[in-house]
Amino acid sequence: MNAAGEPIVLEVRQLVAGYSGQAVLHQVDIELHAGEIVSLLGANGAGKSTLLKTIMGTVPVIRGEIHLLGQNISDWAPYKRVSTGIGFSPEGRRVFANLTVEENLLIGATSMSRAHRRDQINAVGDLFPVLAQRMNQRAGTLSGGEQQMLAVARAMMTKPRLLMVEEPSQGLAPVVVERIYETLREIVSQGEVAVLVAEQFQQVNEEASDRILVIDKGVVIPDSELASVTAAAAEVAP
Amino acid sequence: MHFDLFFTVLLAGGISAGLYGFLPISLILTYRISRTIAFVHGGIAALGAILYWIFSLHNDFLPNYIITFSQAQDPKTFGHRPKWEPFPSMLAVVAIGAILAGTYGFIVMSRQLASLTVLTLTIVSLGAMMGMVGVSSLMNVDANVFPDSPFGSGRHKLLPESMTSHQPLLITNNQIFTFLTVVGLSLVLAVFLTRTHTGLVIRALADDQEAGVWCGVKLRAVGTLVYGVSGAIAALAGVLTSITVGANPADMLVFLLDGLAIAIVGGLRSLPLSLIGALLYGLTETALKVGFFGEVSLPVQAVVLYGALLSIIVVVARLRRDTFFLLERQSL
Amino acid sequence: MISLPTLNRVEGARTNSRPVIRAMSSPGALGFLLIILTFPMWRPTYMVFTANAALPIAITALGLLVLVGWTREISLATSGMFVSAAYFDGWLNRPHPGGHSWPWVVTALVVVLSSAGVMALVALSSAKLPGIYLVVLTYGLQVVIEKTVFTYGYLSGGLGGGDENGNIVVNRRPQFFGLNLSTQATHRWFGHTITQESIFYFFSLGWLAIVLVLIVRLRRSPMGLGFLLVGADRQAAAAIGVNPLRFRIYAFATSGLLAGVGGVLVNWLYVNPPAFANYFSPYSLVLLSIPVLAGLDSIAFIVLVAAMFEIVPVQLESLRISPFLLASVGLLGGAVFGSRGMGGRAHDIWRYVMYGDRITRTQRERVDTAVLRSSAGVSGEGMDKLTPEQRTHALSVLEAWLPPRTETTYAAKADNISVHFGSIKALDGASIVVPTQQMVGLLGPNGAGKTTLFDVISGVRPPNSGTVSLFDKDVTRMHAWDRSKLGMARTFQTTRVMTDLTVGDNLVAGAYQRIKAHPALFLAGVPSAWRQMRAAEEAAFAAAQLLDIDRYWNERCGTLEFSARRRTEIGRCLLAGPRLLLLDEPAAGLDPASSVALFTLLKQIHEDLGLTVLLVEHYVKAVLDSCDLVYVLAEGKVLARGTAAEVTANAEVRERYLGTRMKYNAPSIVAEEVGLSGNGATGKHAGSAAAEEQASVTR
Repeated sequence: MNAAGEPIVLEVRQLVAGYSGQAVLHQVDIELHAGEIVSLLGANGAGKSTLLKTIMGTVPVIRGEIHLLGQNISDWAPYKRVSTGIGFSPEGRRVFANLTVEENLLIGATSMSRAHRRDQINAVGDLFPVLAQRMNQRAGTLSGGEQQMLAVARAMMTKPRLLMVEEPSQGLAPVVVERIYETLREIVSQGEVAVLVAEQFQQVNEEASDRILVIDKGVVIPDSELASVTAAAAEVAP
Repeated sequence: MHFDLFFTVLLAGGISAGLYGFLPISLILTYRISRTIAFVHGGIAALGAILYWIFSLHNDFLPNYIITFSQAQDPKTFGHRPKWEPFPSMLAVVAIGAILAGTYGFIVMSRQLASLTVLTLTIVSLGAMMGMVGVSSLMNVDANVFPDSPFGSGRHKLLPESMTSHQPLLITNNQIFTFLTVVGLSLVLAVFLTRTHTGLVIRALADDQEAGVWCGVKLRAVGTLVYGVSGAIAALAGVLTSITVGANPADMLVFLLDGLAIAIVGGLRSLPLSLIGALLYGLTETALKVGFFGEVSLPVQAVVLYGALLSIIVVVARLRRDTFFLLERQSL
Repeated sequence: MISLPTLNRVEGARTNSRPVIRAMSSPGALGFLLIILTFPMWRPTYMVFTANAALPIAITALGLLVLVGWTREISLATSGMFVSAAYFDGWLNRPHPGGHSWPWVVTALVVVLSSAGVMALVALSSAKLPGIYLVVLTYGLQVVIEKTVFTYGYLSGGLGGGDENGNIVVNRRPQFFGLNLSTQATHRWFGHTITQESIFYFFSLGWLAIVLVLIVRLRRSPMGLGFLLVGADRQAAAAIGVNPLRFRIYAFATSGLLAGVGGVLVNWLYVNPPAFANYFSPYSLVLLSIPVLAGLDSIAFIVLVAAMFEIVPVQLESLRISPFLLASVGLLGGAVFGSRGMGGRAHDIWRYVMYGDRITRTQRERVDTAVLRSSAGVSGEGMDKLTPEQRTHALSVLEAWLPPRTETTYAAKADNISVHFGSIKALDGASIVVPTQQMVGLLGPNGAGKTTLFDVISGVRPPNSGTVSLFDKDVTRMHAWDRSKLGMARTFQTTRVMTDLTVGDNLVAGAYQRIKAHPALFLAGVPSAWRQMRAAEEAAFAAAQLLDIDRYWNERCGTLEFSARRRTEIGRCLLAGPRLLLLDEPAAGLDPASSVALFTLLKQIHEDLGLTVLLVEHYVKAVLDSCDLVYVLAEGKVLARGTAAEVTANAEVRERYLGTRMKYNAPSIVAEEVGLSGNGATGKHAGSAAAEEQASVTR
């Protein structure tokens, strides 16, 4: 519980992780509470992508723990973590280009039972009316902004408690990005979901974020205000 | 051209094409899910052929030995053959093929090995195939003795003799079964891929495997299933081939490479296109053999057959235009 | 005034301009040589015979090294070509009715050259098709050989060892400059009887030695680097003027040539033609496993593994090791060792033992430099940066390397470009011009068509309509690699360096189109050709110094951090001698400090060397601060063009792209850095420009 009394959704303790025993993340500590949007800033190579992928389970944990809703998921397979309550919208959208919008959403709901999948598609359609109109369109033909919506919608199909969105602004016009952040705000407004948004420094949306974390060279710098972020980043840079 | 042989070629060629359809199905299924050419199926086909031979051959004039792994053991006293009925033998071999391929898929699609490059995975697959073929060739099997077919040895005249240039055209039970299985298999697969959720998952993984994992797909389970099914298909192909041409492991390798060529007609992605390729291959081969184009010497037959196959591949590749040379960064 | 020797490194960035000497100078090579030369003395005759059988395989495998290892193509016809060469050479050598026969030199030459020609034809016929189709084509060739050549008794000895008349086919060994190699001859040498096998062993060894020298020279020559680049990334190769199609053909021709040499040797070795049953398509896969296990860049290990493949089954005869099992071991072992194979791992271990781990290897250099600098009175601050003298020297070396500056007004012009993929319009009538010696930026969201426009200008993708001209020449129909010759080089969004090669190799690879000497001169060891190589190395080192990656000269790119690899790629582009540099998101993936440093560097290079730069970026502030001309693309069309101030003032741009949060009147980040580190005039375009920027810096 944090000061506002919201439950802790994600807790990362002293996490050391990386491929082939080569640590990319060094003693990372993070706490995420329901109902907040947290921005994670950093460049590629800083460990931002690696952190998200470690939480998802596709990068192995070397030391430390990851707790989701109180459960230790550090050794779990990705599909198990997803069914427990994580949704992930990766960098570059990564929609299934040859499948329709509806089929993309169905894949997102793989871990749910067949009956629930249908219901959830309708629910998600309400959240993203743009997509509801394009259910039978091939995902590869959507615009960049629509694909980003689809990626987030697909991640929402399992009704996750933790939603992680990686670089939603990449390659999108700022006006489109603002709309996406509005949707994220709407998602957390019910107070059940925690949202972690990973962004490059120059893309940060400080108005939409409740908190800002900075990661550089695999180390997370504790919570800070935006003004000092750039200075801190400049200090630790090589 | 001897048009009086037309129906002979059409029917015999079409049916014999059935055998050529199996391995392309295996290769395409596994290519879509792993983006690598699963050469391992060649090994499974080789093992399937050998095992079927060992399990089912009853010919009493052969002594009671089969498995000798080195010259040191006396062939007359070492080892035993099970001598089962052909049909259960076939089922057993198909099951073994499924298990072997499923195990291979299970290993290869584990989280630890997921980080290997396509080139490395292809090499591993090639290595596994060569290993299986090597083991198969250690087993002392007489390649000139063909095992019996599980479907009996019946032969049927499918066309009146007037249509087949007054030669009786006899099709064996085995050939009919082979053809029907390939057709049935393709239909079942088509339905499975488009109508079931698992089929949808397989199509999604073919698009973007990592994104599928992040959506909660049980990659290892699906991968094992796909490999298992394609392994069963490869083992069945091995069984059917040993009935028609004998159980020589090296022949299985050739069979696999032919299957690869046919699968490439469909760009390794399109099942319908590659089945058409198999059909054309079977038709051309039969046409050359029965003399549709007149008397053609064996070397020229080979040149024509492979020339035709390669031309089809080149033409289809250019028509599909799904790769522009420079947009592909590497060859493999 | 101190001037550091250009290639003085802890490990010694030894020059590649004397490749054979360098290859022979390692203790491993010398030990190996000793073993090989004394082999017949301490092994029984049947082993020597086995070694004789292994040497042609080794030569063929070296051809596969070029094809599979360097160029990453696959051929399934090697086995057929190899043994066909043996058959044809034997056939041509047999006495004709009338009694006379052709001299062995002629027949060998005919066989070797036609073997190369056949493989080149196969590669040519598959022009522009992806590699997998070549696998099938070569397989088709193998099958055709099996069904034709193998069945002709007078060539292959048929099934019974005889031709169609029933005569047993017998080969003759040549008279080699008076040395009688025939199997009946015996030799005496200082009182010892030398067996026939030993004589032939040294004879074959001589041929192997010649081939090895040629391969080593090829590897270190620009052509070798060209092969490696094509194998690693075709687009990157095309971007610096290497023609991937041509190199594919050369690679196939080389493997055919060496298979031919191996075949000729085999023909001389055996009394009767080798049994064709051993050379069906599976054996091609066995041969393929040799470079896979040995390592895709390991010449010595190829010979070792090929020898093992022949010797091990003989030694372990009781186990009946079939070639399939060998190949299986080879392939799986290769997978374990990774793409650099046994040879690569051995090389890594050697370097670790000799020079310590990576940190140690690259660290000590800094200490040396600091020591030298402080002794020369230069302050130790900014240890990684160059002293002004070093910088001037490096710039002058690089300037001398680059082609003369262009007189044209425009470096590049793209006029009314349209590109569509199916129904999606990536570009819809976009037009941009890049004036000479300016830095031009392309902004806009993804899907706006920036990278597509880049692809069109650089030639990777043809436009559906519109024209492209470079330096006032219409290049719309020109291939990417030919455009490089006009003076263009580009980087890519995902850094495309050859990860298995060192920084030094990567940089020198870029110099391919600038080295004018013919490849044959390199193979022949002509000093003037290798001097050009040395010049390229010096220019590459200068570039490395300017880009601050000189201490990584001997390190493999795959082990370096991202920004170092990015800079290596830029360096490689510089070595290609461009007057127009296309940079695709140079700062992508870098943290702010590195981005700023990189843009500063780019601005310096742009000014000092007079390069025209066109770049695509998302780091808007850096673009606005450093570019003379800015284009904003949106949805395939040009939304705005002008100076940074004009573009940011454009209302439509603000509304559709920049959004309301953009703070673009903050102090310039790039100009600041230039003002701080550019002490005085450096290069031909400094002077007033730099002074002006210094004056305008605000804090």
